[in-house]
Amino acid sequence: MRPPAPWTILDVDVADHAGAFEPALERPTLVLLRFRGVLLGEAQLLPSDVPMTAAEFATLVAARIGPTAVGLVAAETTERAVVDDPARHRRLDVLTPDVLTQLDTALARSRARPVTLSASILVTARGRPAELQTCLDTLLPELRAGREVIVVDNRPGAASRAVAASVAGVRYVAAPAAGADRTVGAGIRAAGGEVVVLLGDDDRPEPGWADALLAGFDSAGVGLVCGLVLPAALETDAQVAARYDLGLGLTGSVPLRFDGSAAGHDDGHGHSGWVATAVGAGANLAIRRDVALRLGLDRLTSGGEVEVFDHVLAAGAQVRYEPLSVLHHPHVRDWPGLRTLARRLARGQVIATERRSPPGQHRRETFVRLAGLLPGWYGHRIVRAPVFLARGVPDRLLTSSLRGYAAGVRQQAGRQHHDPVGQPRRDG
Amino acid sequence: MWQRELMHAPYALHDVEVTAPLRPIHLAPHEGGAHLLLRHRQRPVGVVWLSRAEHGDAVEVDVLAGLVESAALEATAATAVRDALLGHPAPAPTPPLTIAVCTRNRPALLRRSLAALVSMRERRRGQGPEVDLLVVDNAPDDRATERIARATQGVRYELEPVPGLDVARNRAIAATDRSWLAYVDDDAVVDPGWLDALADAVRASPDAGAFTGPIMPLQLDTEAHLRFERAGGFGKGFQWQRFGPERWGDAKHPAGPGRFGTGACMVFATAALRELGGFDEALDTGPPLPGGGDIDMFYRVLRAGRRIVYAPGLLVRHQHRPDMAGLRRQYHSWGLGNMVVVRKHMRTDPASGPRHLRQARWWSWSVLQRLLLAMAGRGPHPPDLVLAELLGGLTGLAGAYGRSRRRMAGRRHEYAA
Repeated sequence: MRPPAPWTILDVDVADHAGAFEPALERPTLVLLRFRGVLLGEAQLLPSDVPMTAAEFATLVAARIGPTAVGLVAAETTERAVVDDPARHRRLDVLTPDVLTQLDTALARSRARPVTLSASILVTARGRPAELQTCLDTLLPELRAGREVIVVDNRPGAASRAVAASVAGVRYVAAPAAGADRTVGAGIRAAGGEVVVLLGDDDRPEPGWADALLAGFDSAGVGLVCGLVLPAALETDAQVAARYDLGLGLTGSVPLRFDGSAAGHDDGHGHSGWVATAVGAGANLAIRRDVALRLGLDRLTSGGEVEVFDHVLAAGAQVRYEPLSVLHHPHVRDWPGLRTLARRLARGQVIATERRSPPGQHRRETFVRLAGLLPGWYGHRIVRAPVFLARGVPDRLLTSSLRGYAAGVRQQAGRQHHDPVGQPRRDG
Repeated sequence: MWQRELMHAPYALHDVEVTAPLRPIHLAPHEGGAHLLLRHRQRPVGVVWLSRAEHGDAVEVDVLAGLVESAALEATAATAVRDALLGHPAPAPTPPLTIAVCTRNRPALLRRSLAALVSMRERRRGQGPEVDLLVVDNAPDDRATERIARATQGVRYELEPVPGLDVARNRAIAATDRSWLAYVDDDAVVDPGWLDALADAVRASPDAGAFTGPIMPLQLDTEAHLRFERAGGFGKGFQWQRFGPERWGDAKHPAGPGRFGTGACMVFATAALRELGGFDEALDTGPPLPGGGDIDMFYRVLRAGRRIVYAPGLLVRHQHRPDMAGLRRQYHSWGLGNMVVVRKHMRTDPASGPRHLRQARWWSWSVLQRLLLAMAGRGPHPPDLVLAELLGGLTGLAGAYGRSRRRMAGRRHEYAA
């Protein structure tokens, strides 16, 4: 039973913190634990949990960031000879007394990876000139770095147009067709960079966010890179639920790779399945423009961000998760909005699953597989729903998720559906 | 059925230092498996179970390495990063401490427990005030315990004639002049690093009300030993935990105090014990109410606004019940003690009533789940163990505490006369 919102979000860089931990907490607090600016873990504290002595805080921090720190260091040291010696333990071996120095080095190496591709940054706007202004202010370093910034406005208006015009080098594209997907599509077509980086007008990227995304395209096989999404605020229970119940932004601080293997987009480290929700449902991503155009992602009509990931994987390209790229995203504030999002994500997952069906599979067989498949975790949620209700923590998104799932099954199984380029799908 | 293939005793016990190269584990022909306690620079960090049924009679290094890394990584990483954040502090001085062993008619066990305590004390000599070792002999039938205590150099002896573990514990409170009072069971053996871990824990959390730690098996020689330990034993893991008046996301907290520690090894701020009036002598009175005193005190410490710290280095090895009949009694005692504490505090601490109610509901659901699993032949518990716990719990809810209070009042009266 989580504490009710509002929560405070508190950033602590443990590399700079010394001594006791004595913040004046008045609300439940999400403490983001960073090391030299890089998010490595989090802690959830109540006002009664503080103060803590220096040793207590260090112990808490270490418990939260230790495994991630080790993972990052180990990833940078896989060339070590001990890998060949089965009597040693790869990750345990990095736990020498200078583990923090090693972590420093590993992070510096990660940050120093070269960026070789040109980028267009697409800001999808929705008639919110004040938000747009703030967003564009955070992108000034990108403009100075010579990157293209395009505002793609779903609700074009004079005010937004003026804001875009006030920032030198920003292009403005009106895209009044309904739907965020089509707005993005218009931006992709208008972009000139090799990579298209997406963010919304209410997103707030951290410094270095774009470079970290772009550095993830370190081979031609990488089609899409996504980054860490942090909540801009946790003022409402719906925003808390977006993070902890829908799992938006909870992928952690260790880089991941996903490929379209038969295991179901397994990154080889046990992370499989629903890539989109695992990595934040598209709130912080960059995609190769040629991949996007080739797959017709500029003309997606349903499934949205969930489909994007699975289209890329199904086409044989890799998806990378790069947590050095950090963006703060305002989750939807109210329950109706969150339920809509849950429904959309669930429907998109069905569409994505169907896309992964073997080619030529009869539609009826696909329908049976989808309808009968009922993902294990939906069934698990249904069974546990009465238990959670009895405990006073109802699963408030279950019905929406089931509706989305059912809508996706109906759509894919019983009707004409369109492939990404708008043609009716032909069954083999 | 009930994981029988994993319950072929004995299991060998190994300590494995993860910073050293691993060696393969070979089971002797009579051994059913092995229990590995993993250490990182001597600090306990995890456990690996190996069984003949799952791994054969030899586990080679490449397999073992993966198991060890999975089991040890989290706690080891936390320990290493913590030390680095704190700048690798020098060992902490021994706090002013009495370690009390409350015992009754088990001289052989006491001798073993005292030997480990004395050895540990000697290792730390000169690193702070000398540890005061105290034996509280509870209602003995003879003088065997007294002889052992008096024959051990540097051990004090106190006689508590009124039967009752918590009566003995309260005798220890009266008999100490130290800031910290630890209780170690007579059937437990402290880990060599126990005092180092306590010193470190006290330095880190000087205002804590209590410290607890993990309990590992002293032997795994019988099916009862294995069933108990395989089902989780007293285990609470190897991650540091700090418990306060509230707990994030836990609507039961601080009800369900069995989660905070185990009476086989617990350390208290003496002042906290005195402020709370000592242990409840109506608990741990022997049959028909043989438990509950430890968890009752944990609960009261938290409700008084003090914290409990679970320190993974405060490890003791415990001699578990050797036979299934004894194990059934243990489970019965657990259910009884847990629900007695719920019932007691719903009456004495009505503000926390809803939390105790949730705890009782959670416990009921947990027992029911385990019973269903057991009846289906799954899990490590045969149905009779779960039923014993259920019966104990129902007895606890049905007024066992009140009856025990009356019994203790009579006992006190009898011994005062």
